[in-house]
Amino acid sequence: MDKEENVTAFIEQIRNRVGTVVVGQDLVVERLLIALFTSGHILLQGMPGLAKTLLVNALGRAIHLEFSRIQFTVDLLPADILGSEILDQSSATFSTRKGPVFTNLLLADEINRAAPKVQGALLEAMQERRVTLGDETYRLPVPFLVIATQNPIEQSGTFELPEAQLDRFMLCHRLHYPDVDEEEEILRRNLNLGIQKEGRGAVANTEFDIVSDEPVGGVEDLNSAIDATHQVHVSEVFIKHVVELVGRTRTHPNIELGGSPRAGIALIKGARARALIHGRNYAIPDDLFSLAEDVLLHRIRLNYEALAEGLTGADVLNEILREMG
Amino acid sequence: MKRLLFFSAAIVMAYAQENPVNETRESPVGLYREIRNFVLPGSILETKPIRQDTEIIVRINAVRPHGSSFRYDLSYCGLEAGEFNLSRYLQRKDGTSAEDLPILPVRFDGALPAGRLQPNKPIPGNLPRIGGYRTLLIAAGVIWILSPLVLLLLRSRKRQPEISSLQEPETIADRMHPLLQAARDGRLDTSGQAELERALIGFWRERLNLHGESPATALAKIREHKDAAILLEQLERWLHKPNSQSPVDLDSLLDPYRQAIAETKEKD
Repeated sequence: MDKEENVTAFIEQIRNRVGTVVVGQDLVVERLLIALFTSGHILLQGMPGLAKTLLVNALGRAIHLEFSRIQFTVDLLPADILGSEILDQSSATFSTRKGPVFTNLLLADEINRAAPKVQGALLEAMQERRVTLGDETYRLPVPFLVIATQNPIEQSGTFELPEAQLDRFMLCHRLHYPDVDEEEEILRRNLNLGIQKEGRGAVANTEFDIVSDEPVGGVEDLNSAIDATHQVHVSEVFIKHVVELVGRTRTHPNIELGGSPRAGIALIKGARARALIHGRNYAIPDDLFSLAEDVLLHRIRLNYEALAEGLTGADVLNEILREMG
Repeated sequence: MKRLLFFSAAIVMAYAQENPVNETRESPVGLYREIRNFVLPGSILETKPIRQDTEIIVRINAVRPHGSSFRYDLSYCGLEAGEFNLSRYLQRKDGTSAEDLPILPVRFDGALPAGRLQPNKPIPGNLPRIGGYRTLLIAAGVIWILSPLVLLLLRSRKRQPEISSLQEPETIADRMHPLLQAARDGRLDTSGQAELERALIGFWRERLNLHGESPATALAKIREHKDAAILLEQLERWLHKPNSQSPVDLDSLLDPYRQAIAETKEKD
């Protein structure tokens, strides 16, 4: 098997592994892989109970990556994420205790529940891929991917991430409810989860209990996939499409804040990874059209007139894409 | 007789006590002073209309009947230093003469030194020839109401070119025609190629009636169409695929679109 085939097989195995516990979220798995292969970060938006955490857990175990989860709450402190220096009384010296951010795959659950100071600390670590504790600066492990989640409901007592901070996320994917067939399959699988006995007690299994700990690949396989992503060809014509799309978000009469150059970079990177996942070594307009919403929607802000007319960002973005082609 | 004289003297003394007419009342300029229960003979009185150069402002605070006369509560304020007769500033309501009123001397002391310079009297300005103050107010009101409308109109006119530049004034066929011609002649640069590709996607979306679909879904459905899939795959090989082994025959790729455009024009 040559290198390309290896990467294709690795991707297929990850999708299959995640598919054993998560039903009907192929698009989310694809977006997670895109983020992983491009060293970007991803924000998942969706109602509770759409298997966001399970998905990330399954992905982490499938690739044999270190995985941490932080449940963001209003009383969380930056030190709870980054770590801190602790005084060792016996030796009268400070020792460093690294926080959960020192991992490969970090799930920041309900990121909008934490105070802006904590959000800022995490987003800074995401951007710089390094953390300073006391006088020492530590590099974060490689690969390092943050998968943050936030619910679009229960907004009271939350701190909405501003556009400038949302821009740090390469992708923002909005999860939808599964269709009828998928939901029936979810229920059927849940019926067969069984129980586990431990000592004298027994407890019903959850989906987390059946996620296999056996990885389908390691960091080497992931490195190959990242390398292959960088080999994907992006034509001059494709770059023109990207510039045209981002430019249109800046001049559209309904948009107050358009896409940044970082949005264009994210589109190119994402398109490369998507092309690889779809077995191509070149990006095509399908990649652009497919990723536009996830890359651009969280980066644009509608103006007052558009909001007063009841328009949404998705409406305006779709209008721009229709005008383009 | 003695008793009669005594009663007459008592009445005169009482009147004199009530109305100390000849007593000069002193007060500083600018401060109000009050006279209460002051009986003035004759019919009811009122203050004269205030002139612009009046020396005293007089107010009648209360009037009560007092036999055939009336009893007044007055307050007054001097605007100029000097001695004045307060009665001069009163007139009868029934229009009869008030000459018979007793002299009510008042004196106002000013803090300013004597012989100070007086400001020039204001020269009355001329009202505008057309209309007057009322017309001026109406005109100002009309301008006030119309100005936001004019501003809105100007803003919408300014915005017009932006909107029209984003809207596609031409049909897909109109857009494609010069691009196809340029491609055939080998004059199409990268921007033109990108424009052509977008126009071709738009062409298939229109032909397959996929206007209601999201752009990503529409493109996926276009790829499910037999003819469209082949042509788009050739287009990809031409524009995106690196080091393509088989060269793309542009004529065979673009001819179907030329024919479609020609058919559309014939129908029109």
